[in-house]
Amino acid sequence: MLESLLEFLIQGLVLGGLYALFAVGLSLIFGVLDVINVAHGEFFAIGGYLAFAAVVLLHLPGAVGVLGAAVGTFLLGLCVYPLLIAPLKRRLGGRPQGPLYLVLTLGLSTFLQSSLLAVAGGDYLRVPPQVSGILDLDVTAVSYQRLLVLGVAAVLLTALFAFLRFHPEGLAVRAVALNPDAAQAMGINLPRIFALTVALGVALAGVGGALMAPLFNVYPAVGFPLTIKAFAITILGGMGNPAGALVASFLVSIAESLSVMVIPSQWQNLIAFAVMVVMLLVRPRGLFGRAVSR
Amino acid sequence: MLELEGVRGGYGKLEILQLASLRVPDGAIVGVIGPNGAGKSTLLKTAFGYLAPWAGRVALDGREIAGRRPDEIMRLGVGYLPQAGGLFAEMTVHDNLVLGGYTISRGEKRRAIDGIYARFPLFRDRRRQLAGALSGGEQRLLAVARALIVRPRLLLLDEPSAALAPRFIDEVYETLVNLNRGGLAMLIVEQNVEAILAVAHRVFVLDLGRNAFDGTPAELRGSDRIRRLYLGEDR
Repeated sequence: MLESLLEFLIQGLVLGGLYALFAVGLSLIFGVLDVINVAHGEFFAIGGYLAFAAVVLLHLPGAVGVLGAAVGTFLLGLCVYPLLIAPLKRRLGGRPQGPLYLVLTLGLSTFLQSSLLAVAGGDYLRVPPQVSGILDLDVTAVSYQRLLVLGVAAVLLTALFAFLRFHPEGLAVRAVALNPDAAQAMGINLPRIFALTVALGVALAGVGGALMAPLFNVYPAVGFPLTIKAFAITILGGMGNPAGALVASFLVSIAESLSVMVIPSQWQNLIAFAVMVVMLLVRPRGLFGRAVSR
Repeated sequence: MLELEGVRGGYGKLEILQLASLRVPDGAIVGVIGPNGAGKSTLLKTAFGYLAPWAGRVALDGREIAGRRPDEIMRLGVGYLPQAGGLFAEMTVHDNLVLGGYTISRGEKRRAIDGIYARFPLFRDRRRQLAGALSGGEQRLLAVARALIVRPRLLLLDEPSAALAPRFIDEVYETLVNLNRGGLAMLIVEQNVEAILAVAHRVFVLDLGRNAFDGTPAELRGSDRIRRLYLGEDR
């Protein structure tokens, strides 16, 4: 019993790394722009395709594939605010924009999925692992690839939170999340910060896609189920609160992992959504409320 | 320095400013008073770029600035303090000051913040506290101090005395007068008429988005009609 518990706990922790890479970016974008990015999963898929292109087509090392996914999705993300969100914002003026942003990013999601399908086809593509082998921990065995996901997630998320806490541009991101008008009075260029935030958020998803490509295979809709799960995680952590999303990622992943000890495994994926529904009914602000600020 | 001429503007389709005009000369304190809903705050927001004027001219040093973003106007040497101070309440005192120096180099920022700490030792002692934990008066002073980091030439202040106890109002205005002695021009929107008349070089009365008076505080006090209509005095 104890061995099973440890095994599922470790598997949950590893899965939490992926969830965190994905959900923290989604939450950051919502916290700063008030936009729920339904297309987040497509940037995860693009990260996977970029890794495939680098490693399988160009025969470059796996690390280059991950780096290429980070840079490629970051650059794509830089275009999202000026080309899509800003024009809609200008047209709507001061009117409520939330539902329209949702439709806008849903459109982007469909566009990106269809584009991937048109360019790369619908086949499942396999990317060789960046690291091979399995770590035997007695109670369980974990592939080095999964540990790499957890390790990279830890490094990138630590870097992100340090950036938000200490770097002037990170402070500017937090200031915009708290009070965009006051931030402008500090000389902060809102369109620039919005573009940077989207780019950072989707680049995290892109890296996740590149790292998970050897485990999930790559196909156009690979990220969509993760987007839906990340909604549940961000609601649990508090919409627009990246630190809350980080904690909630591990709560959900560990809960999912441990749940198979008491319920059939086919019910495992329902855990996150059950938590989401209960949280919306009981505490809509989530566990930690909204705060990109601290 | 700052000139608004025949400005019309407002929110959505709601017209608030109807041909409002005013001038802030170099180094002067200019006050704007008027009843609630007269368009005082709208005037400041239009001058600072939060709202684009529908018509008229907004110029800084003779250069048209209408249509520019607030961050662009700020970089021209204009500071803006909204009614509640505009602090980032959930960030520390120090981080608020660091953000105040967002547009200047790291070295300049460090020197400017050291200068603020020397001038307001309270903020050095409480640098790691959240700005929202300061008292109302301290928050207002921190907002002023933060705006000074980039050495603006003109400060736009929206009701600096709002919701403050009398002793804090005196402290805030004393600080503003000292800054003005150093050459900093100010455009101050106020509900507290006595406070602004005591320090302003020129006063504008705004009513229903139009100029109802333009003159010195002494001239305003000498006008029975204005005192009766806008200051609620019968004499």
